[in-house]
Amino acid sequence: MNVRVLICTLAGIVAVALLLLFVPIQEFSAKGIILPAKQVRAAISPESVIIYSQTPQANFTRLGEVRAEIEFSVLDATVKDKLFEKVKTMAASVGANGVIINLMLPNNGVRQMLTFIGTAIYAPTSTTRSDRP
Amino acid sequence: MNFNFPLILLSVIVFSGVVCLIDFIFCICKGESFFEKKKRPLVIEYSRSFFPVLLLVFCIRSFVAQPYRVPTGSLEPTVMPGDFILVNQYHYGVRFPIWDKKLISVGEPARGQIALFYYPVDHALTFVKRVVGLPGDHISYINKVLYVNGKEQPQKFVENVTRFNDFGQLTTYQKYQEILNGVKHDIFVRSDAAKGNFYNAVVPKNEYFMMGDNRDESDDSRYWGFVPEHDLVGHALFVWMSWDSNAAHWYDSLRWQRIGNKL
Repeated sequence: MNVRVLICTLAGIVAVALLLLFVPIQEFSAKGIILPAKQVRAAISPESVIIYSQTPQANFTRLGEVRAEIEFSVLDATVKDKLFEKVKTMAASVGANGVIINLMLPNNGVRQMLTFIGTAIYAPTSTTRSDRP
Repeated sequence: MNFNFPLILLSVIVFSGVVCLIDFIFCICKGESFFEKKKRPLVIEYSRSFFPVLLLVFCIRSFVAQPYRVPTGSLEPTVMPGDFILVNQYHYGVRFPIWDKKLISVGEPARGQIALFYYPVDHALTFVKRVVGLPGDHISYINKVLYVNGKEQPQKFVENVTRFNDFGQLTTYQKYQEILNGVKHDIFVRSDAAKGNFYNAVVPKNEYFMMGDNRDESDDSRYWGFVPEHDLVGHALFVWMSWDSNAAHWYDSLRWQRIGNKL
C-alpha cells in the first residue's frame, strides 16, 4: 500500500469517526397519552398521584386511561421510575390522584420496551391508601 | 445511536467522498489530471466510482422520495401488509436525515393524510398512519366514531369482510367509509373489540394525533401518544408494488390490482 492510499484511507476513516461522534444518541424517555373519560377534574400536582398495583378498596371515580411506553436496554428501577413519572404527569393533567396498573409488560421482541396501561382515578384523599407496586 | 440505513449510507458517502477529496489534492500537488483514465489503487478506484452514485441515492432518498414496505395491517383496508408505498420526503419540509433538522419549510400535515414518521418511542422504527388530529385539536372517539373538535366524522357501512389478521386469526371486520375532514377513506372496525371511548384528548402544540384505519388493530397515538412535528418523515403518495407473502402460489403473490393505488 503506497502513502497516497494510506493517507486517503486514514482520512476517510477519521471523517467517518467524526461523523459518528456527532450523531445524536437517542435518550430513552417515556412516551404516552391520557385518554380522558367524559368527566375530568382540574389538573393537580404529579407528586400527589399514587400508583396502585391493585384496585383500591375506597370509592373512586374513573377519569381516563393512561398508556405509556419506554424503550430500555436494561430493565432496571430507573426505567420504571421514568415511566411512572410520565404516568403521574399525565394522570395529574386530568385531576387524577391515583393510577391503577392494568398492565405493565416488558417486550423483548423487535422493540425492547416496557408497556404500561392503567386507569386514572380520583379517590378522596382521606380514604386512599398507598399500595405501591 | 441507531445504525439504520441512512446512517450506514451517509458513512459510506463520507468515507468515499473524503478519499476522493484527498486524492484530488494529491493530483493537484503532483500536477496530475484528476479525470485521467488510468489504473488506480482499489480503495481510490471504488471511492471515485461509488461516491457520486451513492450521493445521488442519498439525496433522492432524503429529500425527494423513498420507498417503504408496510409490514402490518394497521392501515387496512387502505394499505395492506406487503404494500410498498412511495413517500414524498419534502411534503412536510426538507429535512436532513439522522439529525432530523428541518432545512426548508414546505407544508404542514393535514387531517386525513397518510404520513410516515419515526416511532416516537424508538427512532429506529418508522410507522405509517393517518393524520387525525392537528395541534390544538380536541379528539374524541365514542362508540368507534371519531369526533374532531366536537364534529362527528361521518361513517357509512360498506360490508363485512372476513380475513386473517396479523396474528393469523380469521377475523370478521365491519368495513365503513369514513369522511375525515373531507377525505373519504375506508376503515375496519371489529364489533367484538372494546369500544375504547375517550373524550377531548387535546393535541399539544407542534404535535399530531395519528391513527390506523384498522381501528381495533392499530398500534397508534392511542397507545404511545402524539407524534412531534420533528418526527415526521413524509407523506405517503401511492402503492408502487404489492406483495402478498401469504399467497398460496408464488405467481399469486403480486397483487396487480393494488399497484398504483393513490393514498
